Amino acid sequence: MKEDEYADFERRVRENQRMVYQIAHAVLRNPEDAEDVAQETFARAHEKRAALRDPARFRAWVAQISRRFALNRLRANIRTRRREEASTPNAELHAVDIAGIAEERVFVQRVRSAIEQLPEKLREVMLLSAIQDLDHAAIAQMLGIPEGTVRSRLHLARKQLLRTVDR
Amino acid sequence: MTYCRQHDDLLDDVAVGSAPSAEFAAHLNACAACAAELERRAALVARIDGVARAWMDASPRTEISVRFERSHPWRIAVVGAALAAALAVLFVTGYVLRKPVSTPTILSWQSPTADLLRPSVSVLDTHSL
Repeated sequence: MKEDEYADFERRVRENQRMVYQIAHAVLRNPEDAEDVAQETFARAHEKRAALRDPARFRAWVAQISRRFALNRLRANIRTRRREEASTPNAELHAVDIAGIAEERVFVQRVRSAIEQLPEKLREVMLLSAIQDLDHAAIAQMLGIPEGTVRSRLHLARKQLLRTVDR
Repeated sequence: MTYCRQHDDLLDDVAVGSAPSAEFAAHLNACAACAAELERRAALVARIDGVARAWMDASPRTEISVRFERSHPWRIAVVGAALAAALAVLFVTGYVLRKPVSTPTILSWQSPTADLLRPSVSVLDTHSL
């Protein structure tokens, strides 16, 4: 690989690292895991760079890799958590002192909790669309679904969130 | 002021961004309670969207490392030559400094009965004495 190719790859990493991280974060909702996934994504992209015939698709390509890796890690995390929960019954995992938290923080917590409760397909679209750099077309490409489906899932997700948070 | 409960679902739809039908738009114009309720829900949706955006507006704490191994041919040649030279030096040093092979002790070992087998003095000679 030539020097200018390396410089080009590094530039692409810098340009896309935030988006790649945010996609991983949208799936995992955990900063440490999202960082690991972002790192793995670019390592894989570097390894498989010859497979990318159209350099203009780099952004969409790494977005897909990031989402796939994040989903893999999420599944692994769920398996680990189930094992841990099975070995520690009645564990109080989310002990939060609601009384001491300000109203805004309670609201934020309520919204996040409502998002967590959304069905996976709705939650994914909701969180990906909250990423500033991703429009509906990019999300549709990443998920392999029509743009109209992205819009309808987003509509349903926001409506469900409104109902959960408001009532 | 109580809004019209039968429009609950339509109010949600419009609050999350759908365009109201002409009929419902007319109702909103005529019913202050429903218009106020729509405004309240739309504000709540905006707040929810804001929380989701803020949640996702995260950056990695450290820059993603892009220091991948660079395999330039000249670097491979230099590293290969250096390794070959080091191996050659090790081999020569080892050869020069090797210990001389000492005679195994087993070669100087003699059977305790070896003398009996050696006919140093003839039996006949003994009798003649």
